[in-house]
Amino acid sequence: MVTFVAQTTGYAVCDACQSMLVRQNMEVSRIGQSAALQEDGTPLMLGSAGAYQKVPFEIIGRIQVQYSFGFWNEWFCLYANGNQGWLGESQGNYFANFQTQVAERLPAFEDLRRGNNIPLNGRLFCVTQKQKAQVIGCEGELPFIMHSGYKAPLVDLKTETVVGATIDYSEDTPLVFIGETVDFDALGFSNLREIEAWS
Amino acid sequence: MIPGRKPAPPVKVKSLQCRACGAPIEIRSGPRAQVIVCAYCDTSMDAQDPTFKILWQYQQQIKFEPLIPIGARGTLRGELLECIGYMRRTVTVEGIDYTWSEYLLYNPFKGYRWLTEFSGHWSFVKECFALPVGPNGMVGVNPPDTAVNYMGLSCKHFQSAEARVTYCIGEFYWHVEKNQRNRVHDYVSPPYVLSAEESADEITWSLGEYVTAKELWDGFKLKTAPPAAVGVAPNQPNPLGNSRILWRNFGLFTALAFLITLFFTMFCPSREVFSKSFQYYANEKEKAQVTENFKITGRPCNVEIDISSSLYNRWAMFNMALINADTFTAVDFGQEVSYYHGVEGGESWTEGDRNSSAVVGQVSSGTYFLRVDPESGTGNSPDTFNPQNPAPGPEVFSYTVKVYRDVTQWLYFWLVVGVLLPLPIIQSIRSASFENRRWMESDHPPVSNSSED
Repeated sequence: MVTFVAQTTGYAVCDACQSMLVRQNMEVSRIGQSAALQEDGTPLMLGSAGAYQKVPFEIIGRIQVQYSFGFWNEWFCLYANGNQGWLGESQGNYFANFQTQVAERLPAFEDLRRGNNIPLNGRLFCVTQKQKAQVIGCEGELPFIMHSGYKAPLVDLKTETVVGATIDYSEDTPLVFIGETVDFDALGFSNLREIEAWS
Repeated sequence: MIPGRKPAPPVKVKSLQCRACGAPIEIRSGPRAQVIVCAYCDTSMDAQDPTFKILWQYQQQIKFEPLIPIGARGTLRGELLECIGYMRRTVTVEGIDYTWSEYLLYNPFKGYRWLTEFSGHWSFVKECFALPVGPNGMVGVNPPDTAVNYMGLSCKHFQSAEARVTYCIGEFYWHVEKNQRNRVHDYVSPPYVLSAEESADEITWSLGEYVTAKELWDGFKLKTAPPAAVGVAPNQPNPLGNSRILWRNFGLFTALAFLITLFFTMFCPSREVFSKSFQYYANEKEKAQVTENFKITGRPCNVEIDISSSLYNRWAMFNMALINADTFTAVDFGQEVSYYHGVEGGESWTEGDRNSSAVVGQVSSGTYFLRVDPESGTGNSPDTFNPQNPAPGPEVFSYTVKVYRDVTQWLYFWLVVGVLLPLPIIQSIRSASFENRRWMESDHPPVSNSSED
């Protein structure tokens, strides 16, 4: 069974067969197949809930990618106020972020170097990592989909505060996600995944 | 909740037998472990590989027992953490090896923490997600050898060196290898140490906070004895405190003592040397009085001669002489008092002062007496004052002459200063020597400070 919870998301992955589906004009069609996600020890799962800046959210989708240091999940979150956002999660670190339109014209992926400072909506961000992360697969409901095996050109940026950004150079117009690193405790999670010897 | 969705299966602890020696191993960080090193035979295995393929086998000549055993759980700063890995890293500075221990701590919800130990000094370390700011802005590459500012904390560069892994057991979330080399940079702002670790494609910043062994041993409920702390750690809080604060307190105290002394000087009488009361009779022919002898001792000082009188609606002029009884040298001076009181338009008014004082400077020790020759009148005072018909006052009044030497209070002040001053000085010296010992081990030893600053 595939449920579209959010009214605006266009994509969903079937829990049972990992078919990737697109919804257009009330029609649902299959556009591919997601590989099985890798067990990465995450304490989150579809249906986990939390709150960021006092706005409750529920996790409804996930993209799993593999970086050089391990797995990274972008959890797609539906906020109680109708906003949609992402929660980057890896090895116990959490990065609440939102796709953001930026005024500036961004440098090309090839031109960016670690240490470069670039302005995003007027604020300087520093490039801390640049790599092509391999997409493992997707689950749940998503605003866009990434095919398994695709190598996503991603640039990570930090600032002098916990505010950071990720730029996804997959499309002609790069997608910018700006957010901040948040402590686990501050996110007030519920409905977490069971972890043996800890839960 | 999303209707109809089954919860994800639990995260399981992986168990295996060491591929080399058969010892049972638990992978405590589950799927997040990349490498597991058998504590018994030092064999390193790929924790992500279903068959736990052997990566390398070293015979680590000396075995090191982690002070916090792998598998121990404890609470540190409110976080429940399990020790899952132990490694030793070494830097070589001017031909000398310095080795410290790193304990990898894990909580599946909160991720990884570190405990580092060097010569019995411990730091609790967390990864940073903000960038420090150096002289050239945010430090994304090439950590500088100057001070950097991390989230408002100014951290001075302490040391940059290449660290190599010289021992490791347990599990790690990256591909640890023996002799793996990374350039590390330390910046200190006690009790914090900010560290940058360079790898091929990233700089990882972390912030350590000095913790006492007692806190750790309590947190992990360890029964063993912690190693004694030796020397001074880069981020060890100066036990003598910041001498600047001490100096500030000294300054405040001295200022307070100064104000109190000033207060006493201004409002409290000095030491009385002599006092005598006289009566003034207008009709007495010889009004001049000579006092008994009195002694003024000690160093030359200012002598204050006070007159307090009971005159009413009249003035008095006291011609006085302070006479040395041995040499008969005299210092002449005059004092005048006047006091008028009346009622005008239903309102009471007063004018003048019944009391007066005069100071004779630099009086050497010796025996003295005073000669006092008063004159007094009603209307025509020596000054220009001309009261509007005050009823003339009585022609008899009393007056008291008192002699004080000032002196002592400032002595007390200087005594206080003299007693207190050594404290901040000694503290400063000891504190500076502590800082010296701290910075002796750094890339910026104190001797070269003058040329650098």
